[in-house]
Amino acid sequence: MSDRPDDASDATPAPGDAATRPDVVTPAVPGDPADDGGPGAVDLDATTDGTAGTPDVDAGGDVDADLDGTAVGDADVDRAAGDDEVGAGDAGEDEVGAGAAGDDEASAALADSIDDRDADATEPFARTTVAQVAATPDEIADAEPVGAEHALDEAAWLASSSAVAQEHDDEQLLARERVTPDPARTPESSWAAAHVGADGADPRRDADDSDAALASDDGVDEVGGPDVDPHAAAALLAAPGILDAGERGGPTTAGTPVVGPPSAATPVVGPPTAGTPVVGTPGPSGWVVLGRALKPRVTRAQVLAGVLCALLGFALAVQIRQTSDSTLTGMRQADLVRILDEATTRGDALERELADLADERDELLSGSNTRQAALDALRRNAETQGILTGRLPAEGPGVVATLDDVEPDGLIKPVTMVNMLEELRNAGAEAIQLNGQRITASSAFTGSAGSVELDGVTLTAPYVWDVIGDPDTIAPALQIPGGALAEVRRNGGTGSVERADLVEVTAIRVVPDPVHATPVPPESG
Amino acid sequence: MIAVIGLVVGVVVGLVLQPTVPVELQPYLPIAVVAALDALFGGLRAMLDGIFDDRVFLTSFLSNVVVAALIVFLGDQLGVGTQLSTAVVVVLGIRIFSNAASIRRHLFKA
Repeated sequence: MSDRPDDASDATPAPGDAATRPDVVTPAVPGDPADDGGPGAVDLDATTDGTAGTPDVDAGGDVDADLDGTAVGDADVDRAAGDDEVGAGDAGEDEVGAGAAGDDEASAALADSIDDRDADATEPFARTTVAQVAATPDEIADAEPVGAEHALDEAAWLASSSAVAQEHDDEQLLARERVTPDPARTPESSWAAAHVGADGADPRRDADDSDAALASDDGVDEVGGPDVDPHAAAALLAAPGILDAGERGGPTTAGTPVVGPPSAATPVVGPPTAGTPVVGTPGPSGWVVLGRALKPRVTRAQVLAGVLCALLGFALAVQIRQTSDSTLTGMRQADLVRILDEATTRGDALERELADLADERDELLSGSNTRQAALDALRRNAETQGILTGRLPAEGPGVVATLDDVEPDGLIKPVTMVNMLEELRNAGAEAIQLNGQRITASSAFTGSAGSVELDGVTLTAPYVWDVIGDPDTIAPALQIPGGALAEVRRNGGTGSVERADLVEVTAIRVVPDPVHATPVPPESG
Repeated sequence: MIAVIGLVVGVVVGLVLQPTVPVELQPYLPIAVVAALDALFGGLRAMLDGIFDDRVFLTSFLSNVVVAALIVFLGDQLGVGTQLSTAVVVVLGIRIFSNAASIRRHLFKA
């Protein structure tokens, strides 16, 4: 905050605006800052009547729109009744200040102002002017060749510079600020000149604060203008209208119009020059502000900001790495519970699917087994049928019976063969072969005694019967009295039965398919 | 400029050291980072507005971080952790956008 002793009430910046806000000069500019009773160059003669009389210092809400440090001039706005201050074409010239009024006068006024600034510091704009100005009209007339309307500007600027550079060398100050009148100078350049004057000229500030105020990136420096603004200008600038026009968000616009000294200084600082398009005069663009801010300067603020940014960068890098590496460990309990529920649900669904698939697989396997079993059953059935029907050769235990007849009465008749066959079947013969011919269900004996035909093939003695069956049943069955074998013997023939462990019935007889007979269709249901 | 250098240095140190965050702090670090970002943007806007104050920046930085972490922690204890965390993030995001818009207006006049 401003620590200027004489600025106690005036230059206190708004609370949030930082200690770095430069002291707002509250020069006793408008009237007779020098308090020397005579206007001189510093006094303001706004009515161009040669005197800095009452109407001249119109602090009625005029606004220094062009930020030239005074509320007069081309671009400035005269919002109050007194229109006097609004001059024409004096923008560039005004801030030059001393040159317009004469060097001697200016230097004298400066010296006086510097000496007397303390006394005048707290006085309001208007009061000062009124009190001081009316003293010596003559001096004023002589000293202001430029014109009364310019006096306010130059005086204001000059006073501000002088007030700021309280201990500064007068010569140095003059040398820097003296400029030949140049109407072509723009408000900005004059503003810049004023700024320059004030920039390096406040040794009263604390070392660090001054550095901070002047050179730090906290916005004050770049604003610039406030450093120089005279009390009057500050007061005028305080008018809320102009400030708000440029920057809606202007935080510091106190809204206190006109003369109020304390608030006068405050609003001037920030918004108008921070790139806000004040009426008619564009302030330094945001890029300029940014550029100035980026200049590395070792100040407390910068170092602090650097430390905090380092902390932020560190935390940022750590967090990003943390997120990329492991996501579960950093989550909160609620999130983990939700994830667990989802995982469990999915697990259950997968288990059900697994059970279904297993059942399907088993079904398919069993199905194939059933088919295989059916195939096996069919195969066995076919074999059995083949043996029984004579389609397949067979082997197994059985008997071999041999019949032989003798001439002329012992000739074996076909009926004897038929009896023999019936007795063998009755005894459980399963496969019968006679003289190399298979006997099937359709076999028939024909012919006559001595030339028996089996299925049309004539047989010759001896008749050898290969029979597969149970030997213990068949052999005794053939020997029964009254059987075929007994009859052959009675007729004089011979017959023998031999049991065998292995009888091979290799002959087969393919039975032709029935022509007339058809199978009975299976009954449904 | 020193701030930018500080930021870069911090990121590099974080990448090089690769520290592991304590498990207790892990849920709160992202919120703290966002809150610090909000403070940074606020400071940037203040600088462009010409009202930057290092003390304000420092206090806003620290208070943002602490308050954000505190709110999330409280929400976890109360059982509304996710909701409060979302709310904090939303609010910080709004502030960041507002500050960014102001900065944009300063820089681009648009």
